[in-house]
Amino acid sequence: MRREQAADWTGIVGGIVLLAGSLTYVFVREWTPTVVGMLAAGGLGIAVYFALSWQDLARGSGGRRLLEGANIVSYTLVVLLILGFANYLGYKHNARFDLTKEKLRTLADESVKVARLFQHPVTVTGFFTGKRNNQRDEFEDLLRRYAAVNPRITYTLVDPERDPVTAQKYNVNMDATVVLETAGKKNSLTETTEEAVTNAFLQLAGEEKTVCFMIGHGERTPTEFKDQGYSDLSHDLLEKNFKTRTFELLKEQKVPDECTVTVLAGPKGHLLEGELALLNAYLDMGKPMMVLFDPLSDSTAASLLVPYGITVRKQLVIEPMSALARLSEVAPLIGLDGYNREHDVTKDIDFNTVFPIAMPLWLASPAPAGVTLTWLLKTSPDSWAETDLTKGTAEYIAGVDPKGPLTLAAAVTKGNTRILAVGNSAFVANSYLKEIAPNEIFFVNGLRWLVGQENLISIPVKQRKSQPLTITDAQLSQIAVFFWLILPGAFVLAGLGMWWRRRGL
Amino acid sequence: MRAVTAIIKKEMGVYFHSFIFYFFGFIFLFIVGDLIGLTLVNFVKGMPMGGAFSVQVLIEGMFSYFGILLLMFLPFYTMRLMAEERRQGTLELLFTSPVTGAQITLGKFLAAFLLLAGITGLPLLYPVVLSFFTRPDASFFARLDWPPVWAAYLGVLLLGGSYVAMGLFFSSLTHNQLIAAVLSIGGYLFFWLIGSAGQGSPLQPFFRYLSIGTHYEDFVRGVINTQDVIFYLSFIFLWLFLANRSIESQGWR
Repeated sequence: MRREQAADWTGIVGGIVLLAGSLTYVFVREWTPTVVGMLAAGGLGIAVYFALSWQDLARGSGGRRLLEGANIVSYTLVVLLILGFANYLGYKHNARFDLTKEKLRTLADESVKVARLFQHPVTVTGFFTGKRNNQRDEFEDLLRRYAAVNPRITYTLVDPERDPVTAQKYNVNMDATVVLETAGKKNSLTETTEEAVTNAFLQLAGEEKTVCFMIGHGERTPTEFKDQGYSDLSHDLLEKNFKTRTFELLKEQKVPDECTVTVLAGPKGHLLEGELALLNAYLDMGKPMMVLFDPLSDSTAASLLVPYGITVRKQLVIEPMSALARLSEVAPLIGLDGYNREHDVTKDIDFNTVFPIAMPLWLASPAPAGVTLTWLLKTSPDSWAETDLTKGTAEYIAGVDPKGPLTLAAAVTKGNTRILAVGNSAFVANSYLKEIAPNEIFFVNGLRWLVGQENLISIPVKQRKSQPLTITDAQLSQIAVFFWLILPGAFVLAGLGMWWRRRGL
Repeated sequence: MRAVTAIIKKEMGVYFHSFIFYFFGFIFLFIVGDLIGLTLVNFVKGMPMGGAFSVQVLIEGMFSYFGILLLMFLPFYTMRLMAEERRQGTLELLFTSPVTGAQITLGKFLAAFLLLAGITGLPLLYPVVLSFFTRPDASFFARLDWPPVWAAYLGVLLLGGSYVAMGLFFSSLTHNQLIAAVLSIGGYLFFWLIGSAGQGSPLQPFFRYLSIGTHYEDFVRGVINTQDVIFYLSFIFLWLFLANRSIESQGWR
C-alpha cells in the first residue's frame, strides 16, 4: 500500500513538474536550462511512477510476459511502418479543397505556373519579428501553397530579434523582408502579397539583368567603398538578380551590349559632344536609362533630357518638413502624399524617402510630342527652390525662388524608351543606404520599371466579401449575453437537472 | 456492434451524471462565448456600420482557439475512461463478459468522441445567431459562407478525436485519474510543440509534420487537405491501437 502511494505521489509531482516545464516553454519559446531541467525532472518522476507501479505486474511467468512484450513491440512497429508509409504517400500526393467562396486559400493559375518553373531547389527565408505576427502566419500559409505546387520550394521563418546573425547575413534591416534564393541567384522583397511573391519568383527564374554605371566624369560608382560610393547598393542589387558593372563611354565607344539598363550617377564633369551623341543613340534604340543629377554640378548630361521635356536649373530644394524628422532642410523628406500613386514605381511605397542635397526637375507642360512625362516624387507645398547658392543660407524670396510642391523625380516614356530622372544621386550612396532603407526600394522599383519588370504578373487581391452587421446596441447586448451566459448556463442547468433527477430516483 | 453500443451507452450515462463533465463543459463554452462576444463588441463599437467587417473572420478566430482549449479540457474528460475501471477493479469483470478488448477500446473512444462532438458543436449556434444580423438581402443560409465553417468543425472533430485517443491510452496505463490527466496534457503539449523542434535543420519539415497543431491550421482557414485527414486518422488509429494493447494486456492478468 505504501509503495503504491509513493508511486502515485511521485507520478503526480513528476507530472506537474513536466507540465510546468512544458507551459514554461510555451511562453518563453526557448530551451533554457530551467525548461530542460523541469522536463527532465518531470520525466524522471513519471518513469519512477511506472517503475514502482509495474513491479506489481512483474509477478507471473517470465516467459509469457516476455512473449507478450515482444508481441506488443513487434505489432506496434508494424503499425507504425504502415501508418508512416500511408502518411508519406498522403504527403507526396495530397489534394487540397479550398471551401471558401472567394477561393482565398488557393493560388492563382499564374502563381501555380510560376512556381512550377523552378527545376532547382528554391529557398525562401522570411524575416518577421514577434511571436504573434498575423502577417507572418498569412505569409507562411501562402508559402505552403507554393511548396505544395513545387516541393523544390522550401521556406524558413526567422525572427531577426532572436537571430540577428542570420538577419545580418542576409542584410535584412526591415521587418517582413523575404529573401528568395536559387542556383546562386537571389531576390528579396518587402511585400508579402501573392502578387508580389509570384513576381519575385518570376524575377528569380528570369535572366540576371546587368546595370551599367557610366564613369569618367566624377560619377558615383558601384566599386567605391567610401561614403559617397555605391558599393553597398551594388551588393544589394546582386541579391535582387541585378549584376553591376562600370563602363567608360569614350573608351568603349558605345554602351556595352550586355547592359540591360544604364545609370548616370551624378556626373560632375561635362560630357563631350561625342558622348552625348552616343547616349542619345542608345536612348533612340529604346534602351532604358536612369539619370541622377546633383544641384552643385553643371554637367552637360542634363541636356540629354531636354528633348524629353525635363530641364534642370542650378537650384537647391529646401524642405522645412524635414525638420520634423530631425533632418536638415536641405535633405528633403518625401511625405506619403508626395508619391505618385498612379505610377508603378511609387504606387506602393509606404515609407518616407530622403534626398540629401537635391535639385528640382522642371517638367514641360504640355510634354513634347510622343512623350509621356510623369512626376514620381514631390516635395511639400512649404518647400521652395533656392536659386542663390552663393549666400550660404536658405531664405525664401517670393517671386525669385519657385515655391513647392517641387518635382524631385520623374519618369519618361517615348515609344520603347524609358528614362527615370532624379534630382539627387546621394540617396543610395553608402552613407545613406542603410540609414534610409526606403530609398533603396525606390531605386530598385525604378530599375524594375526601366527593365520592364514592374508588373509582370497582376493578381487581383482576393478579399472576403464584406459582411457588415446591421445591429442595434440593444441587440448587440442580447447577443453578448447569449454568448457569455445563456449557452454555457443552459449546459449547467442541464447538469443540475440530471442531478435533481438522480436525487429524485 | 451491440457490445460497442452498450459500452457507449454505459459510458455516456456515467458522463451525464458526472460533475466534471458539466463543470469543464461550462468553462469551455464560457471561454469560447467570452472570446467571440468580446471580439464582436470591439468590432462593432470600433467600426462604422457597413465597414469592411466580416463575420467569417470572427468565426475563423473562434475555431483557431479551439486547438488550445481542447488541449486543456479534454484530459479531464478522458482521464476516467480506463483509470476508473482499474481503480474500482471492474476491468477484470468486464473481461469476463463476452466483450473483446477492441470493443472496449472502441466503445470508450466513441463515447468520449460523441460527447466532444456535442460540446464543440454547440458554439456552431453562434454563426447561426450572427446570420440574423448580416446581409439581410441574402437568403438565411447564404448570409454566411458555411462550407469553411464545416471544414473548421471537421478539423475540430479530428483534432479532438486525436486527443481523445491519446487520452484513452494514458488512462489505460494507470489507476490514478489525476496522473492520467497529467500524462495526457503532457502528451498533447508534446505533439503540439514538436513542430518548432529542429528549427533551421533539415529535419524541421518532419517535426512540423508530426505536430498535431500544424494539421489543424488549414481546417480553420476553410481548407480540407487530404494529407491532414490522413494524419489525424493515423494518429487516432495509432493511439487506439496502443490503448487496445494496453487494455488487453491487463485483461490477461
